Amino acid sequence: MRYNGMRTLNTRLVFIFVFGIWCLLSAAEAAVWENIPVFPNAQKVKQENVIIDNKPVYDAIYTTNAPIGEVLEFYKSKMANFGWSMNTESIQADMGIAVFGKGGAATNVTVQSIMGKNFITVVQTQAPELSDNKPCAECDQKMGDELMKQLESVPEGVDPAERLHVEPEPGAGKIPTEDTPGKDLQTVPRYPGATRMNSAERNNGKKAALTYFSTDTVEKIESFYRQNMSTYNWALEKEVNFQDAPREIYDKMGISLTGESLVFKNRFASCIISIFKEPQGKGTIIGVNYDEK
Amino acid sequence: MKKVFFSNDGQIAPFMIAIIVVLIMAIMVTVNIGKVGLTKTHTANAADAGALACSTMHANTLNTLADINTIMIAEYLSTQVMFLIPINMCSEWTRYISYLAFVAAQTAQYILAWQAGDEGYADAESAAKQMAFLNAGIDEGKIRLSGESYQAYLQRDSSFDQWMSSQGYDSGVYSWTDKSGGANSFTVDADAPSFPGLIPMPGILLGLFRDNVPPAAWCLCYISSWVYLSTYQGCVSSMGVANIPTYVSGALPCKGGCCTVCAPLDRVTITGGMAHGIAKIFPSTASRGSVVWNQIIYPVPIAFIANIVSDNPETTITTTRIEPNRDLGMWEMKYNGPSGGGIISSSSSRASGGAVGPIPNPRYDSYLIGGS
Repeated sequence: MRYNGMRTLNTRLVFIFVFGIWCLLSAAEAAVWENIPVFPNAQKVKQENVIIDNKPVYDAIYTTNAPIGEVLEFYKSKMANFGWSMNTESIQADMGIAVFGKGGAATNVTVQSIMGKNFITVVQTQAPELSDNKPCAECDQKMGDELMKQLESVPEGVDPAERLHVEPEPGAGKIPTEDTPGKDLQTVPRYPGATRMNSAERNNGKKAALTYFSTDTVEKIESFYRQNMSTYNWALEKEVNFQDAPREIYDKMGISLTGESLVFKNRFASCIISIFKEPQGKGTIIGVNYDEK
Repeated sequence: MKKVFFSNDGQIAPFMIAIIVVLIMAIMVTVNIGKVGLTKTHTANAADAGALACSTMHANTLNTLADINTIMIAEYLSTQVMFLIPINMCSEWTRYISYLAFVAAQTAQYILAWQAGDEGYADAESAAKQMAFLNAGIDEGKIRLSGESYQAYLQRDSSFDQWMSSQGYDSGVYSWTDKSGGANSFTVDADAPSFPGLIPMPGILLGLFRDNVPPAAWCLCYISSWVYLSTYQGCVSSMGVANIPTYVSGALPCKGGCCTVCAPLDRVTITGGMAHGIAKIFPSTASRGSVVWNQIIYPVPIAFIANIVSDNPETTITTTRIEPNRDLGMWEMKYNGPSGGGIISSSSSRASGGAVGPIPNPRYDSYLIGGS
């Protein structure tokens, strides 16, 4: 009897704890959006909180027919009422952005024209600490000096891009070898030795996108995933070769992907693993897109 | 004899005989018309079923494409959100790799969508023929083989069933001989469109950067060849480099006035195959510790699916039944043979009501739009 009573009490305590956490999270999220005005008559596409590189990010996306300038003017005038100060802004033909700061928080308002509709993206996050700024360890002083000399010698009216030529030092532009903050997926193996470049998690982990970098070849990494995904209960459903993509689109933009996407599925989720060469030949990029049903 | 010829009895008989003849003729006409009507009904049913099956498959395929596009658009918007989180310029490599991974993922989804479209439309034609034959009312007799038990006879599939199981319907023609040796056939012609293809929607990802001004005289970060760093023209001109504004893709004025606190960044393409973007920092015009905001525009070849090349594809299924002519003794029942074209029905349908892009709406359904 007493045991049953204790069990009931424990259950209640757990319930109260979980409910309390849920309330706190909801309140935190609500507090985020209470401090940001919404453009009049804008239609909400989605509002979510995302964990990006282990940091919480709140975002909301709206659509509107109002011009980009009008939307930015609205935010510039109204954000001040909520205590935000504008750090910077930029307006181009089909895009505008305004960055606001308040305390340790940063809010970016971007207005982007997509197929005749203007999408307003509001992103709130913690502003990066300036002390985090590394003194550009990857930077190449010698190359910069050489380029500066060339730039100064380019006559007026000539496109410097056609005149400049600097060979980068071997090994310059090093790719980070340490993982960015975040976490791997429990249900998808990580290629040994690969470095995590970013991670994004949405819908309480039901959707996730991770990117890794490895110096191994595409073939070796593909072979790893073909062999090891089955031990995590994944079945290979399809393979997509990037060479099957319409070439003209990529040629126009100067992008060429060499590699494959492996589409895995199981009863609960699908997972697309894209493995392709980094275009400058520095290594192989592994993109993992996880989508739970 | 006199009684026979001059009796009043039986006067109605000639009329009755005439009526009976007329009735027999009417029955024959009725039977004939009924038979033709039944056959016509079967061909019409088959055409309708085939057309509806084809458009239903089209609708399912288009709904799948709309779902894929929804995922692609959601990914695009989410990735844009990720890129708007300011990082410092020298961490750009991680963003650049994320950008390439995004391009790869969208490309994979696009190719998968195209493959799904191709397969769906090919399956639609096959499904149309299958459903048409199933509704064709093919009345081929099942002949009991010599020595075959009745149970075995019942369990054995008919020739038509076997033909259907082996996907013979893809050929579009089924022919058989009836008990009297007459040649019968049923033909299904599907005028179904092949997958029209997808129109990709290119896009951009705007990357936001927030840096303080480092003490170094020069700072080069290795960025891909197709990125554009914004700069502030005033800063550039103060350096005496005249043509840099060529590269200006957008200006983010720095807080407090450019030439005192701004550290401009611009993009220079290096010729000779290798190309990098370069972030330049000019400490002579910038004070250490000041903040500079920059943006990189990353072009995305396929952000999502703009639309399918041609929406609302129309399908027409034509069915033709050829039966041998029947001689009923007095009246030959005419069914057009191969030269006459047989009894023909056709039905048209289309899938509509939804949208693949740019605002996907997976509400496609199939509708019959006409027939004969």
